[in-house]
Amino acid sequence: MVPKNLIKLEGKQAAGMLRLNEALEDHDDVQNVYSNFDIDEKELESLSA
Amino acid sequence: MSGHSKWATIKHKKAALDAKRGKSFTRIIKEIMIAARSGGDPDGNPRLRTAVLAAKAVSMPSDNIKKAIMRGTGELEGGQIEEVMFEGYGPGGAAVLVNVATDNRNRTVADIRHAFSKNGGNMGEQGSVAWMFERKSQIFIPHDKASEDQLMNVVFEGRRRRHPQRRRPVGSALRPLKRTRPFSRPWRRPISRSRKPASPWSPRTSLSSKASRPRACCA
Repeated sequence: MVPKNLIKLEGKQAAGMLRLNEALEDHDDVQNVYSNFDIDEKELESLSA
Repeated sequence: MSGHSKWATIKHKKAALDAKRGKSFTRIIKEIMIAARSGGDPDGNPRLRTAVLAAKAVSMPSDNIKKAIMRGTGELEGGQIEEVMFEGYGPGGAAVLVNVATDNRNRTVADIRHAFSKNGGNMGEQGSVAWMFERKSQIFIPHDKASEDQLMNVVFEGRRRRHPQRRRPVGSALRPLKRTRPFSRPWRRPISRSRKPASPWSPRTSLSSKASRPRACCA
């Protein structure tokens, strides 16, 4: 599934979104998670560091 | 993490890896079971074929694959698995679609709802965010294997030859080119004029006219 538009996330929201994504993907029954968030690469790096 | 020997470190790493591997196994098995419901022959069922390939890619024993297919087709007893799409919003209002394969829908709904609310999102109704997504195929190609120009050539070749089977036998598209032209941005030329593939990157298979339009190609 490909999103038609993207939503830019920064700071706390970006971190929260990543956490939500991880929580969903970690669930045993979940096959795939699709989302339309867009996080700046630099921000992503600082978040995952 | 580490104890006082090297093995302790390895053990931790291995346990984490095994857990991950096991998880992706169950995920793939579920996909196989769902795919096998619409036909247990991978040759006639593209979705099953993809799932089986994914299973082989993580070196799943073929016995497990066979059993999963049989459970999917109903030849073997096993829990009914259904496929559901959950929708919701994440923090900041981003739309989230969660594709789920479960043998107990009620349990999974509760878990997913919990994951949403615990992480600053909330679960929405069916259809609340699905309209923001389109179902499309994506083709991934390692960027060192082909340049963008070459890929564009492939795409535009596909458009130029709308009905290869009408003009000449499909097989003729596969014969080696006698003369290859340099990559000269053929998409700038009128599309209808040149019928010969300009690049050696011609498609191996031909699809019907609808499917071979660029929209489907690059989507």
